[in-house]
Amino acid sequence: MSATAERPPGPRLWRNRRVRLAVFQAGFAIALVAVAWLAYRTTADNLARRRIGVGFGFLSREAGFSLGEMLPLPVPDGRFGLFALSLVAAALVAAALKGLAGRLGSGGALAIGAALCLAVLLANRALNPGFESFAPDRSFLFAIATALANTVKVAALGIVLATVLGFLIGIARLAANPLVRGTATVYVEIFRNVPLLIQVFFWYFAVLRTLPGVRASIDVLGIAAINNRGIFLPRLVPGDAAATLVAIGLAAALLAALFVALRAPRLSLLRTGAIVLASGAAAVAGGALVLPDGFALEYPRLTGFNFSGGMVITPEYGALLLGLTLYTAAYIAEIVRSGLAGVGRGQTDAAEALGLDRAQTLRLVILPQALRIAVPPLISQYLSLTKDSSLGIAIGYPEIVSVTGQVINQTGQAIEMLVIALLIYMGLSLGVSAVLNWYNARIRWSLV
Amino acid sequence: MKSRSMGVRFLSLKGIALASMMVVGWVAAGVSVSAATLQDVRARGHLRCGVHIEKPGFSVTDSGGRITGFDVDFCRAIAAAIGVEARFTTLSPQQRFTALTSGTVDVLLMTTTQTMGRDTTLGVEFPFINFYGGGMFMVRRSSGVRSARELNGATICLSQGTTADQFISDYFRRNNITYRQVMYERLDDGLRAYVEGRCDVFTQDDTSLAAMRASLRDPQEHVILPEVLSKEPVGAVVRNNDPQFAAALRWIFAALVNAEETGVTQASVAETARTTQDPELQRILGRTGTLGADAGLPADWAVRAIQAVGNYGEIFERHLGRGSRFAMARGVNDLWTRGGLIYGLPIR
Repeated sequence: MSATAERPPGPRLWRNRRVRLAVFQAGFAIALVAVAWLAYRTTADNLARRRIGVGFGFLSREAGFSLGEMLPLPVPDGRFGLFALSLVAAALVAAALKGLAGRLGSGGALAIGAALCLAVLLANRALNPGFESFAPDRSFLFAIATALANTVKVAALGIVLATVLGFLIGIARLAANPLVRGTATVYVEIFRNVPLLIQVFFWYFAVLRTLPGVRASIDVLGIAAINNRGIFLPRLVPGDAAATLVAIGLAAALLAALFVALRAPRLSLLRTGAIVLASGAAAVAGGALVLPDGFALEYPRLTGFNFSGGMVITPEYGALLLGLTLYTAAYIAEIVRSGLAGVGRGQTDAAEALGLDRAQTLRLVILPQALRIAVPPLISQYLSLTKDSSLGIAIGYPEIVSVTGQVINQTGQAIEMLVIALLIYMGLSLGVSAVLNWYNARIRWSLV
Repeated sequence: MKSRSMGVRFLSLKGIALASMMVVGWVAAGVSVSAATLQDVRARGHLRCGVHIEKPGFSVTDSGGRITGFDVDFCRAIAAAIGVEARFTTLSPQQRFTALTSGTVDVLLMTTTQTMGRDTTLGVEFPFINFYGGGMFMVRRSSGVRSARELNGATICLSQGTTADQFISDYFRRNNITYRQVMYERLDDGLRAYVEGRCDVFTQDDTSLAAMRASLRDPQEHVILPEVLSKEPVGAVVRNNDPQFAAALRWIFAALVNAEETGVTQASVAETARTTQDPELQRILGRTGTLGADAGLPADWAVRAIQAVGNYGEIFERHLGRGSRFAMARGVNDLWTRGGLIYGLPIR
């Protein structure tokens, strides 16, 4: 406060706006800490008086139960640590290459992507981190991690599908053709005005569960089966030479991307992507001729009670994904429509005056500007979708809320598990909004 | 922003939401859970019992809104012995321990299995076991399955809030066979999923499996496999900070069993209390001695309890046995004198 000493005698200290604000802030912070401390102490006292064990020690205990869906998860042992390090190293290399990409255009960007994948694949081959599925002899922590994976599995795909569908319907809402426009309007009104839980129930109880039973499965060309226990699909099973094949494909993609970057740096991302993908696929196909032990298709077969082999989309996952996607797509369509409507009519006129056709106008002029309006509300939609995945508990999908209840029932550690569930949802939400805020900032910078 | 909270409130987070509210109760300094439950109950004028929302035979709400059932009658007996009215709070299995330890209810009577883990870590005590059950499997008759050992690769439907997820996992691990499971939040959904063919097997404690089978459209189409997969001794649960209350409950239960052992019934108890010459019955029914007062109960505590709901056997037959649509045999829940496990501790 030496600066104030040199000022002419002004208002008294408590009249000083900055001082006053600082005092208020400090007071508020102290009150907040005091309340938190009081709540903590009271809870701890009450629990101790009731002789209820507290702490997170139970997380490492054996769970002793199973879950409906279990994705293999990386198990953190020594090798996994090395694998994580290799990921960080690959990301650093990518960051270093980014400067180069600025000048090299889309080819450079894809080259970085391919190089990154190649690096991770090679590291994976070399270090072979253990991926293991949850089992009853695993810990409660592993159960919670599996639940998180299940939530992410449905939320991530839901976000992608809802976005694609939402954009299509949003654009259709403004179409000139009354049939298209009308259909889109009906879609939005139906899916937006029925509570999500009812929709999830509809897909689960009225659609997917009424499919024929296992013995009467709908057979799809002898390679897939549909029944009330899920959609059973063939699965690619990697053989001994699989990693080599993928490495060959990635290397070809990398070379193609570098070629484009050096020879045709102005080629659009779409075309570059097509070239890179085609090169990679061609290399894999060629390699497969030489290396027969690359990939094999495993078909689902009816053995005993159920289909085994291949992969399955369970009715629980399917209904939740359908419900979340269709419901959120209706909201996204409205956001896209408002974004499109928010771009001035003059922009369309100007684009037409320049001789752009309808599609070009939409793609090059209207959509980029509409996105700037649409992205912030989109973020909330994505957050909502992520949190709404907790409705999975109602139809037997083992997501975080469901498994939290299961663990509370087994251990009685309600406070600890609620805190964990809270932190997980907060982490997911903050993660989603961080990514989109970064994207939002980027498109604003590039367009302003 | 959007009106999607409705669904969440109404179902999916129900258990968690209530648990959270109770956690808030713990956090709030004002809530005091006293260690003198009997005095509190008398001062309040009613006993607060936590019971199942819907468990056929054990706790069901009839069309008139009256709660009845095996567990419900034990609550009424306890309330009557204390000399107060019984009030019921329906709870989901996930909510029950939090509801009890936070003081929302005084006692749980909702087929809660006594396990070592619960006894030692949850701050609760199990004053008596009123039913010896076990986890069992139900399958479709047409599946041809006769033993649980033949269930390799089967899909099993179950619901949250039971010990089923643990005992099936134990059973399949012990026998080195595999299974898939679908776990629903609500018992009804699990049963419905099984009926519709989502699963090959439905699993529950036998406390409700027989009742649920009886409620199906075609009970003959379903068989309960002979294997008893787990031991499920279920009974009352109280907080472990009040030994006097726990003791009172233990002896109220003992009185109901002693009544069956000595042939004292709901109809005859008043008469017996006045006329009996048996010194033991005189003690139990409060004619002599100070056992009631010593337990913090009225002198005629046992008479009140038996008058309210009858002896153990009468309660069993009324809700689970011959007097009910389940027609369950007494089995291990018969008196020890007839080869069962129900044993009336000596009241002296």
